[in-house]
Amino acid sequence: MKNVSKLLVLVVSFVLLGTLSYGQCRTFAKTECKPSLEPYVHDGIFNATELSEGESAELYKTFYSNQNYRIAICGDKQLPKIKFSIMDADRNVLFTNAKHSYKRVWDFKMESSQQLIISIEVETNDENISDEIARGCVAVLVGFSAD
Amino acid sequence: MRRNSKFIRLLVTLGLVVGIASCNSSDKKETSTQSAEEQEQAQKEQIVKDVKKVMYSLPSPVETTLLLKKAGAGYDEALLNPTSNANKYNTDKQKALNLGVYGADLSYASIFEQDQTIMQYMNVSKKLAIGLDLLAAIDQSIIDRLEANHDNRDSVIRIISETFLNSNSTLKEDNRPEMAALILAGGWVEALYLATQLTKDVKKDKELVERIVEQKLSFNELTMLLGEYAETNPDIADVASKLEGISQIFNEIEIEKSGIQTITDEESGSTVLKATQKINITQAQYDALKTASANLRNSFIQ
Repeated sequence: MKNVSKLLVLVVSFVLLGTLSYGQCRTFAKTECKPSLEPYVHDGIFNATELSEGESAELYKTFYSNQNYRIAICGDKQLPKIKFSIMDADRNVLFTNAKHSYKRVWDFKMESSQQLIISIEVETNDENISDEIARGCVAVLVGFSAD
Repeated sequence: MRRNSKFIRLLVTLGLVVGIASCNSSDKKETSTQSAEEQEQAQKEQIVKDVKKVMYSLPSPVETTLLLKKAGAGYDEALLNPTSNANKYNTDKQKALNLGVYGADLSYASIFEQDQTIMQYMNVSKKLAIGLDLLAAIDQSIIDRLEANHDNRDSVIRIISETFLNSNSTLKEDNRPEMAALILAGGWVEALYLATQLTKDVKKDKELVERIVEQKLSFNELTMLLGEYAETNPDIADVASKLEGISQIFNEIEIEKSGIQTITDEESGSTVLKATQKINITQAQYDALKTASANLRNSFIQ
């Protein structure tokens, strides 16, 4: 009986922790990241995930010609620096914030419509002497000019 | 004490695993080794393989309809899915697809500042959202804000974008990403339908036709997004199979592109991505796309 109870607690905790982590990611994206897009209009799409140090993710998105855009990348406070790079469909790097003091936003305009790849990577924290690996939410939000 | 601490550690580890799993619907699978001649391609594929998560982001219907207006499209209320149709949508699949359809109609009306239509379509969207247990996505405060700001196009667009964010983030949080994908598919198809219905001649409406053909790029993202769930979700598989007709037509239409050159204004920090494109489309191809998108959209709203 004790084992059954333990198992039940384990399963419930298992589900709750997973749900909570995603819920926190959603709140983080809305409250911490979305304001960075101002004065651009957020495109309404929720792109966020949990990453640990050294892990990466990619977002594929089409951007249209003669339209002004802002990309905002935000990471939880406990995470080390987040590197983001913009690549064309052939994976040629067009921009990386690593050469621009790891800035969180990038404004750009396209002369022809293209599918771009936004690559995000959580750098490893070399100064951290503990064994714990930092983990947290990373959001990639896109805004466009409504003018 | 030590046993308790071990137990807690186990729970945390399992929680993290679930967190990763819930965010990680598209983890890359192992691929076969590439030949020596394809080394460069293999390196690129390896990079993609090592990426923990891949996400696909479709254009917002607000953005798409704004681009159409800039390209010279007009407003035709008769094209919208009538709000009276909402009563017919009983299944989650119908509700999700048509929440996307109504979202695109709402965006179209907002770009053309059609106050009364905006309120009607926000209300019908709210009804479908409630049907999908998305109570928080379009609550009364959003309706009230919309009413209070109806004469300010910028505010209206922002409120509509907020409802899109609320819907797809809530569904992902509730571990229902398939529903979010269906809503996005409905919105994408409706935007294509509106655009093609507003455009007739590939020579006279050149700019609009180019905007429509450029949807070939985001169509790729739509098919990849649906592909993530098609194997396990019959509703998604059905929608994905219905996209085949449009896929074949897009495959026949050529978009030639040059390489991209980046030019950054150091003072403002803003960058221009310079590139050229040439679209090759015949009237017959365009007409086929127009018919296919109308058939697909009508299959969603019936």
